Amino acid sequence: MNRLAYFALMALFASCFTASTVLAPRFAERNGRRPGRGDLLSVVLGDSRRLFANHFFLKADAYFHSGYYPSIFDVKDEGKVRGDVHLVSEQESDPHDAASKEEHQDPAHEPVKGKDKEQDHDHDHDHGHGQGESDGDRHDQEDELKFLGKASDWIDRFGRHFFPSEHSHLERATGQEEILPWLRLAAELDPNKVEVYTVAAFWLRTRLGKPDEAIQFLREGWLLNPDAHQILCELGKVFAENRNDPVRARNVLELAIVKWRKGEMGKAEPDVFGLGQIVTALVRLDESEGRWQEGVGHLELLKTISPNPDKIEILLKEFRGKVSGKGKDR
Amino acid sequence: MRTSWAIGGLVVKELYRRKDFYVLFVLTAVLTILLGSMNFFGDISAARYLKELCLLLIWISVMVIAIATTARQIPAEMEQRTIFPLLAKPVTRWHLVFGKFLGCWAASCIALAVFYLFFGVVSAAREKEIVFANYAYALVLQAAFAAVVIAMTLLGSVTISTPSANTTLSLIVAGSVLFVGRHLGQIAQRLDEPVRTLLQLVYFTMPHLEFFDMRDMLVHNRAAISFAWFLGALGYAMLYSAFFLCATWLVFRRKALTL
Repeated sequence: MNRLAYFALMALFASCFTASTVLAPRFAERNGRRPGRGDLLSVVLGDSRRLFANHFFLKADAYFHSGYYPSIFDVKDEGKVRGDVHLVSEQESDPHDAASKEEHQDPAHEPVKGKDKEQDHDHDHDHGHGQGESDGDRHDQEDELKFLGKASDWIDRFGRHFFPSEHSHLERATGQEEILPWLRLAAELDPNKVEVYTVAAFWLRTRLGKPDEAIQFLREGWLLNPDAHQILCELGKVFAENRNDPVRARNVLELAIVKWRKGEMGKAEPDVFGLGQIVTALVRLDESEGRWQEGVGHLELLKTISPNPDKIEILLKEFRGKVSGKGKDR
Repeated sequence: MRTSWAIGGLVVKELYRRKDFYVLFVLTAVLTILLGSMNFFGDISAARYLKELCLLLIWISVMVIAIATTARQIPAEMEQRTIFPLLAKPVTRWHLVFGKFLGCWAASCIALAVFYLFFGVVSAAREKEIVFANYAYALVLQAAFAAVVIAMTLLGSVTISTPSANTTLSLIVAGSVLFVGRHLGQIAQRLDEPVRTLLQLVYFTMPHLEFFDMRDMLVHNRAAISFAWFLGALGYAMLYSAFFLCATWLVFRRKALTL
C-alpha cells in the first residue's frame, strides 16, 4: 500500500512538472511575450525582475550625469518626477548622425510631430549636445536638471556637500563605458524593454566605437522583440553609418516601416517620432545612393508627419528636380 | 579612561573570536570579484558599477557588525551575571558604558580598515584616476557613522528588552535614515498638519546619518570635499554620539541589573 502511495505521488509530481513545461511557454506566447533566456536572474526572480529593470536603466542615466540625479523624492512643483531619461534624448537627438552643423540644419532632420510636447526636457538638451559646445555652455542650458533648487534649511545645505550636487557629464573620450553594465543588466532583467537595446546600441556605435557589439546586442533584442520597429531602425542606422552597407541598411529600415505599420497604425496615438526616425534614415540613404525617385516617396511620407512641412517641401522640390534632371539625361 | 580602554579591549578580542566579520568579509570579497569578472560588451574598463556594489556591501557589512556587536554587549553581561564581578571592581557604570562604546567602535574601525583596504585594491586595479582625499574622508566619515550608530544601539540595549529586537530596530532606523533622511523635510512640507509638524520635528532632531555617506562622491570620482565640511560632519557625529552615550548612562545608572 505504501509503495502504491509513493508511486502515485511520483506520478503526480511528474505530471505536474510536464504540465508546467507545456503550459508555461504557451502562456508566455499568449501574453505576447517570447520566453526569455533561461538565465539565473529569470529563474530566481521570475517576472518580478521587470520591476528592477527600469531602476537599472535610470541608473545608467544617473551614471551619465556622474551621480547628479533626482531621486524619487525630488519632484517638480506640479508633482511630476524630475529628470526624463537623458540617455534616450541623447540617442533621439542623435548628434552623431548630424555630425556637421550643415547636416543638423537639414530639413529632413527636423523634429517630428508628437515629440516636442512630451520631451520638453530633452528638447532643451538637443540644442547643445553634439555641436561642439563646451560642457559649461551645455550645462547652463540644462536648468531642468537643477532639481535640487535652493536649500530649504541648514541640514539640506550642509548635506549637499557629501553627495554629487553639481551637474556634470561623463567625458566624451573616456568614461562613457561606465553606463554599459547597467544597460546590460536592465536588458537581462526585462528583455522586452526595447529602449534599452536602442540606447545601448547608440552609445556603443557612436561614442565607444563598437558597432559589432551594437549589432550583436540589437540582434539579441530583435530575437526577443521581433515586432519592435525601434530596434530595426537602430540596426539599419548601424549598417548605414558604421558598416557602410546601404543594401542591408535599406532592407532593415524598410522592414522597420512594415513593423511600424503593423504595430502602430491602429493605435490612438501612434509613435510618429519613431516613424520619422526610420523615414529620415531612409531619406539619407536615398540621398547618398542617388535614389531620388524613392527619396521623393519617403519625403512625401515625412512631410505628413513633420511639424515643418514647408522645410520638407523645399527638400522635396530638390529631389524632384534631380528626378526630372535624370529623366532629361536619358 | 584606562578602565574603559580595558573593557573596550575585551570587545575587540570578541570580534576576533566571532565569525561575523570573517563571513561578511569573504562574502563581500567573493561577490565583488565575481562582479568584477563580468564582461559587458567586451569592455573590462568599467569600474564604477564595481565600486558602487563593493561600497554597498561594505556599508551593509559594517552596519551589521557595529549593530550586532553592540546590541549584545550589556544584555550578555547581565544574562551571564558577569556584570556583578565587573562592577564590584573599581568600575563605574559610566566606565562600563563608555568602555563598551569604545570597544565596539574600535572593532568596527578595524573591520572598516580591512574592508577599505580591499576596496582600495579593487579600485586601483580598475580605475585610471583615484581621488585619495575622498577615500580618506569616506573612511573617517564612515567610522563617524559607526560611532553614532553604536551609541544609538547602546541606548537601545538598555531600553529595549531583547538584543534581537534592538538589533532589528537599530538596523531599520539606521537604514531608513540613510535612505530617506535627506528628503524627510521635503516630504513633510507636502503633508497636512499635524503630521507635517511631527515629521519636521523628527527631521530636525534625528541624527542625519546620510552626512557620512560619501559613496556617490567616491564612485563618480567627484572632487574632494572641503576640509571644513569634513570637520563639521565629524563634530556633528561627536555631538550625537555624546548625546546617546549620556542618555545610555542616565538610563543604565538607575537600571536594576537583573533580567
